[in-house]
Amino acid sequence: MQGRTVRFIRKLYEDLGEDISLGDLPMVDKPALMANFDSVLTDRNITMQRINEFTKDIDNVGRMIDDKYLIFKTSGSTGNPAVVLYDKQMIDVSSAIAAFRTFARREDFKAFMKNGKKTAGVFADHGFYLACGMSRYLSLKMPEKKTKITVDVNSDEDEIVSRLNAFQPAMLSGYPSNLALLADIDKLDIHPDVVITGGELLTREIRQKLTDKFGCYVQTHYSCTEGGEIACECSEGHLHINSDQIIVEPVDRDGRPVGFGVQSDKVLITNLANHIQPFIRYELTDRIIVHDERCPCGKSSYWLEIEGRTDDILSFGNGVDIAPMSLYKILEEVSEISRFQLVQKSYESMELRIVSADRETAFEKAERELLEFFAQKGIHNMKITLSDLTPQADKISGKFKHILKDM
Amino acid sequence: MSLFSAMISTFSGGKLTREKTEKLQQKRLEELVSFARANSPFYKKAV
Repeated sequence: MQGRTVRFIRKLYEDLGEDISLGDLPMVDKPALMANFDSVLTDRNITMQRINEFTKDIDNVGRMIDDKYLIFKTSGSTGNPAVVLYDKQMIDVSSAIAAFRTFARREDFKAFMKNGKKTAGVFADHGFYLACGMSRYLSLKMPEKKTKITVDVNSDEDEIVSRLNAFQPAMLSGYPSNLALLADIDKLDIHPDVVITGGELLTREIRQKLTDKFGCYVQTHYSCTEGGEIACECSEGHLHINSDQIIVEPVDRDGRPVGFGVQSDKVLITNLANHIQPFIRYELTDRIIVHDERCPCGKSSYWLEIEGRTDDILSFGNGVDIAPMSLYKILEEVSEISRFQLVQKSYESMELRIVSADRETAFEKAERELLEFFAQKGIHNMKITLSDLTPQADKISGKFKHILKDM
Repeated sequence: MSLFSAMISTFSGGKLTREKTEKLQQKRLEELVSFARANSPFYKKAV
């Protein structure tokens, strides 16, 4: 191990005694954990080099490295990429939470079971992302079960519609901005018992729009790859923290705890279930309010509100709207890019801001993939320029968007 | 922990009082930190 890393570790934990108090533990963030990736892991056989080899083969999505760990990749709201491993316990706990806490209302769960548990997820279906990775893991584990499909969010609109219409899911899940765009398509004729969104903030407007389109209950949850299921929605629309599996600390910008009912500047999470890659007092940039008022639903756990990740839906001259997650997933796949931000300047022009060790190669790849995607959407006159700027947070709110409209 | 015990634990964990949840959190935190310090150079007190 490098001397600098050793000094960092000593400094990090030198004051720890035998009695562990959460507040005494140091905070960590994504750049620190990724920079020290190999030494963070608790299994010395796993290294970033081996993970890079393993993830070169897209067929390994949903398969375990060394038959022990699932690998996921994420970028997150700070724009820095992360690699996250789940051990068996974390996978089992995630499955258990999905089974017992996903549904806000008992009647939706009953209807879902009655209608064959048919689940359709509209997600990016081509990478090491949590949603498609877990979905493929379960499909590989139980190949005889035909109750679950994943529809690639970036496929042709007609294909998405025809697959969903043919499958007729009892549960539809996906990013809220994408589902909102799907809701505008008249020929989409499905009647799910429940819609469960994730990955972005479910706004009141989108919730209503999806309710109107699908005629069923629409709910969400709060999760991230590093922490798993942080909070699940109840029948009152409150996000109850899964406090038996995760510790959530709302803090101000200096890391000091804020009280109940006070909006935080960020969140520290401690994932109690995953031991292969410990996330202890790990910083998320979400702003939340934790409530201690008793919830009428009967659950005793604390609940939270979140000011979530809200990238912009982009509009184009031919009337096409594109959900931010579609573009996000394309850019996240360009391995040469470590951070990015795509800014729409007009109907025909975009600016790409990137951080990369090889900016020219990274831009060439990104531009090619983006133009191909736009062409599929009937947008043929797009000009993308490489900006000299690095990705920027909004000067007023301080929030970061990967995909934003500035026109 | 097997899938079965994760199911049982999660089912019962959702019904705990706040006080019992905090005790469970503390127990699991101690297990996690001890394990991390024993097996992860990053989290180890002294290397």
